[in-house]
Parts: sequence; C-alpha cells; structure tokens
Amino acid sequence: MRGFLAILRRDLALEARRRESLLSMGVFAAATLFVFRFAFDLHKVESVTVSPAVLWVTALFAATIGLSRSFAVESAGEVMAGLLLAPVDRTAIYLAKVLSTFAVVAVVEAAAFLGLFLLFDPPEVWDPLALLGIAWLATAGFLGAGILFAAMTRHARSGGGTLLQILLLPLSIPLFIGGVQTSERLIRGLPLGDAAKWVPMLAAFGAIYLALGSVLFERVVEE
Amino acid sequence: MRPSLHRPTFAAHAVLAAAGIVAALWHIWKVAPLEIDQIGSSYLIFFFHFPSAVGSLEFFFLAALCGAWNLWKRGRVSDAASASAVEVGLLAAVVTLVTGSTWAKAAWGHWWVWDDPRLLSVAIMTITYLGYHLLRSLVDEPEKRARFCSVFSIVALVSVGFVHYAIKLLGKVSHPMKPFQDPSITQTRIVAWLAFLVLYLLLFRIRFAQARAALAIEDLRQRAEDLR
Repeated sequence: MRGFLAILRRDLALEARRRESLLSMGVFAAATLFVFRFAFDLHKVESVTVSPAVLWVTALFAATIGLSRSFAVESAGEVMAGLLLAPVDRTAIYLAKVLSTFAVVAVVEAAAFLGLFLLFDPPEVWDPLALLGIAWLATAGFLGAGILFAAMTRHARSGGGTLLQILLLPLSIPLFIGGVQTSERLIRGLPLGDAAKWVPMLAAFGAIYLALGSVLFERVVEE
Repeated sequence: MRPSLHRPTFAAHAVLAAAGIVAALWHIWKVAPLEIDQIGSSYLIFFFHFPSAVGSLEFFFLAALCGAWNLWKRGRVSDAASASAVEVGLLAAVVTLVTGSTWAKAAWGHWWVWDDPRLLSVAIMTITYLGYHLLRSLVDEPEKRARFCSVFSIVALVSVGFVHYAIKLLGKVSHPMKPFQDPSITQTRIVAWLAFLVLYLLLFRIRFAQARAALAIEDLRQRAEDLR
C-alpha cells in the first residue's frame, strides 16, 4: 500500500508541476470538439443526435494521449529498472499508474463535457453528473487495458504510439458502444430505461480489464 | 527427428481433412434441404459460415491457452503455437466475415448490416487479432515479443467473449440464432463443423511446423555465429 501511494503521489506531483499530460489532452480535446462543431451543421443535424458520439470520440482519443504519456517518466534513464528493483508489488505499480492516469483523464473529460455543452448546446434537461459518472466508469475499463498495453508498446519500434491505439481501440469498442447508448438518453434528458443494462456491462468490462491488468502486468514489466 | 510435415500422421491428417470436406459437401448436397422458408437456398452458405465462426473462437481460445503456457513455463515453442493459432483463427474469422457478408446480401439485400450484433462483434474480434500481428512485427526482442504477445492473446479473449454475449448485450436479433430445427440440417451442421475443425487443425499443424522450422534455422544461425 505504501508503494502504491508513493508512486501515485509521485505521478500526481509530477503532473501538477509540469501539466504535460493535462495540457496535451486538454488541447487535443478542445481541438477535436471544434473540428466536430465545424463539421456538423447544427441547422441540419440535431445536436442530441451527434453529441454522444462527439463526446465519446473526444474522450477516447484524449485518453489515448494520456496513456501514451503514462510511462514517459519511466522511459527516461533507468527509472523503470529502479522501480522494479524497489520492494514494491507489481500490481501496486500497475494500479497506481491506472489511478494517476485516471485522475488526469477524468479532469479532461469533465472539461470536455463543459466544452460540448458550450459548443453543441444540447437540451438543458440533461443530467451532467450521471453522464460524467458513466464516462468515468468506461474510462476505468479503458485505462485498465490501456496501462497494460502502454507498458508493452513502449518497447516497440518507433515508440509504439500508433501500436497502442491499434491494440486498444478495438477492445474498447464495447465500452464506446455502451457509453454512446447511455449518454444518448441522458443528453436527451430521458431516464436510462433499456440503456440501463449497459451500466453493469461497463462495470463488468472495467472489472475484467483491471483484473487482467493486475495479474498480467508483472509479466509485462519483468526484465 | 524428421520434420513434422514428413511424418505419416501428417499425411493421414491431410487425407482425413479431404475426406471430411467431401463428407460435408455430400451432406450439404444430399442430406440438407436445398431451400428453407423465407431465405431460400442462400442458407446453404451457413454450412461454411458456422464452422468457420466456431473455428475462429476455438483457435483464439487455443492461442490464449498457449499464451498462458508461455507465460508460465516460457520457451519459444508455446509462443510459436500461440502465433500459429492466432493466424488460423484469423483465417477462420475472415472466412466467417466473407461468408456472413455474402449471406447478408442474399438474405437481407445488404452486404453489411450495422445493427446485427453478431456481425459487428466478429468484425471487432477480427480487428483485435489483426493488432496481434502488428505487435509481433513491431517488437524486435524475441523474449519480450513472446511475453507481450502471450499477454495480448489472453486479454484479446475479451473480444471472443463479446462475440458470445453480443446478442444478449446489444439485444437486437437479426442474426439467425436457432434457424434450423430440421434434424437433417443439424446433422449437416455437425458434419461441416467437424470437417472444418480437422481442416483448420491441419492448417495449424502446417503453420506450427513452419514456425518451429524457423526457430531451428535461427538456432543454427546463432551457432554458426558463435563458431566464427
């Protein structure tokens, strides 16, 4: 537990000092929202029809940027080797990485929601807190698999940034579908209804990815 | 030791695969009805589609098993087996998509139906395993490559589970779930499944033998380097 907290504190302190991930994800999310806003003519297309997809594409790709930077500290020098030599459980390292990346992605997603509200002007009846909760639930699953893959792809030729997306995006499509289905209803101001079945599904995918990551991370980082 | 492709068991396997395919074709032609209600004779492609779909799931599962073995016991042979199983699984998945798409055109009038959960989930699974090959080709160090690919083959099983539960999760059933109650169709389906299983196992054996031969060549090259 001490190792977990130490790594989490270090990652969050570095991010608070440099704000590299936060800025790159935030700027990317803002640019994506603007591109979508220019691409869709809201006089012809209903805002509530496109908003869920815009929201999830923005969140997913912004989170991928966060993931590709998640091992930036460890890639410099022999930091990872030092971390592995320390008497810290590998699962603690993995979970600390997931949580520290989650903290940054969660802030960017909240800002992206605000941006969506300003640019796409969906009906005011929507429930932003429920929407944010579902987005964070899906993000936990996404990062569960993402941190595992990010630890692998940093050893790939040419940095592995593209490889990370290729490995991760197909496996996150179920999360994406669930997110779009639920958020469409919430943005319309409707109760979840049939889409409520996606909430336990998102939780189940998250639990599976986090469990697999916790078990397999040790095999990925061993030298 | 003789290379595995020159062993008598391999020849017997090849003969068995050919006999299985002939038996499946005979069943399709003579045992199963040539047409059924609503979808006519286009349903006959099902006897190629279904065995390939099941085959892809079986071989991706085998790949994960070999991957788990590799993580547990190490060694390059289990990694080669895992990679070979993914390749055969991918081939079966592509056959599934092509036959499924052809059937969709004949039965529903469209090559692709976006709201069919099964079609969608098989496509997601196929793309997931295409990533496996990219991972193999972009990690140079053999030991790391084996470990990473083994890990990925296990995580990618989630996409296989998604195929299984897609209809429950997405709740839209345009795919025929229990289409054919006729016993002759069930019999033909089982024969076709067995025939394709034997055929895909044969392809797996060929690919695995090639991979092992590549490892042996690599070893020889290394020994020649050491002797220099």
